[in-house]
Amino acid sequence: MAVSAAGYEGVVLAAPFSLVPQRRSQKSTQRLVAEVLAGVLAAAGLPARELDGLSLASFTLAPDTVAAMCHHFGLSCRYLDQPMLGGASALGAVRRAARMVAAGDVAAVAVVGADRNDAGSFSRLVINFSAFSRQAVWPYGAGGPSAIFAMVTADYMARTGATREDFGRLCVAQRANAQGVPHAVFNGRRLTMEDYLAARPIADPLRLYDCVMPVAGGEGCLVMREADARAAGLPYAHLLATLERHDPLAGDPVQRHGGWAMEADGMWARAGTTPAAMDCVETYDDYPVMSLIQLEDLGFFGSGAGPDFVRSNTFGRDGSVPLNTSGGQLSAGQAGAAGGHLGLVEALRQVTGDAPGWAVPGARHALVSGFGMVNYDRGICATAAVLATGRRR
Amino acid sequence: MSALALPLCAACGAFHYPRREACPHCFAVPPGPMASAPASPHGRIASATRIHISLDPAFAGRLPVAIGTIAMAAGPVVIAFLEEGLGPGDAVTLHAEPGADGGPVFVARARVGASSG
Repeated sequence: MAVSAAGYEGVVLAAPFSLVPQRRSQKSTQRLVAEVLAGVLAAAGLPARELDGLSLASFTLAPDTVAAMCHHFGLSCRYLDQPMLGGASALGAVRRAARMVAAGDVAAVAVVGADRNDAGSFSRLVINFSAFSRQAVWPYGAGGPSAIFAMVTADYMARTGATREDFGRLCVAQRANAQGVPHAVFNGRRLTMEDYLAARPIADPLRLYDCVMPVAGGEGCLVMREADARAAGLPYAHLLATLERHDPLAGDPVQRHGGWAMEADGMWARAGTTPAAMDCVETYDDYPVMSLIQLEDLGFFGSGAGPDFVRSNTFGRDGSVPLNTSGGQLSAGQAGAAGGHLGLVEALRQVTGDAPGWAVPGARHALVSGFGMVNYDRGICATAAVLATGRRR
Repeated sequence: MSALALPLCAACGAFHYPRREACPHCFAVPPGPMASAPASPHGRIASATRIHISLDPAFAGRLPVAIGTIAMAAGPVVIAFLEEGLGPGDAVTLHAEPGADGGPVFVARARVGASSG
């Protein structure tokens, strides 16, 4: 059945906030959520009691839920949501919140992601990630998502001619982008192509710097009425169009695409703009191959042309395609289900002139994409959004 | 050597893996648990990796571990251990063997007499 999505007139994104991530932390998830929410509310100048919507993504919140957090923080909400779409949660949350705000059910929704990272939490997450992974992936060497994306990467290299250096170009550029970004875990630690190529092997052909570092952290922003953002004097971004498609695309023996490919044309048509017009691009870079798969599915280049695209572009903030402009997850760290919030918050910062010291000069349009939930041998959830400047700082 | 069995939908006759509560091809929901049936053990390696870092300490002494994604002639995609020397494109035969924790695991071996590529 075809769909025809309405626009998001009168609804905007504002009040970005990012925690400085920590490699290891004894902080609870509840504490991290409190810190992110406090940061978002402070950025918005909004008292907690006036916030009437909360969408919270987290893998490590159990036994609590978003309802428990509403009580925990003394909030009074008309809308609570807890997306379980992994790295697609942030944009899934934005899509739902934007409709609720547009329809008048709620005035503002804090879209928050946060996860802790204490000793052993990553292994616990992987073994219990899904029934299929526990029974049909974990017993085969327990390589976690890296083993799956190693096979996706090997397949990508075989069918497109991509080399290790091609992925390295993305990783090295993103590490440079992380420099000067206070909430990037690798701020202050440079990466050269030599470092990238010589790093210790994780799962062939992946090596250390192809893999995100799990961190404790969180990110958030507000989805709110444009009139309220304007009245409060906040910088804000418009949501030109979005997409969401959850489809395993089971015809491919190894993941070669995601749901973006099925929805991208419609999103660009609704947005009234094109990939070439994007001033910055924030992909879900859990592994560099997924950035290339997203960029292809989202129309940045033709089928199999990823290597040419990598070799003929530059990805720094002053490059031809500014990509993952705060370092992406590969250089800023992955705070569990907040991984998808990183790109969202960064895109919001860039198009509102709120990236002090790491701005893409004059950025007005940004593409963000999300990806989540490797249930068995591939990721299932795909989201994307096009943001545009509403009011700059 | 026991014959390979995979979950089979009685309504549409298609195999799948891992086992579902409803057929992923036709969404038939069987009256009881999805039954398995003998399936061709033949397949081809779609992609492969050697795991150097494992999250399970039980694998510590066995690293690196070679695994692959096998596109089975019967239809499903199965993740399996790979016999030494196998790689993408190779024709394989899948065997179920007891795993480290007692449950069965799949091991792919070179299919004798089959061409690779």
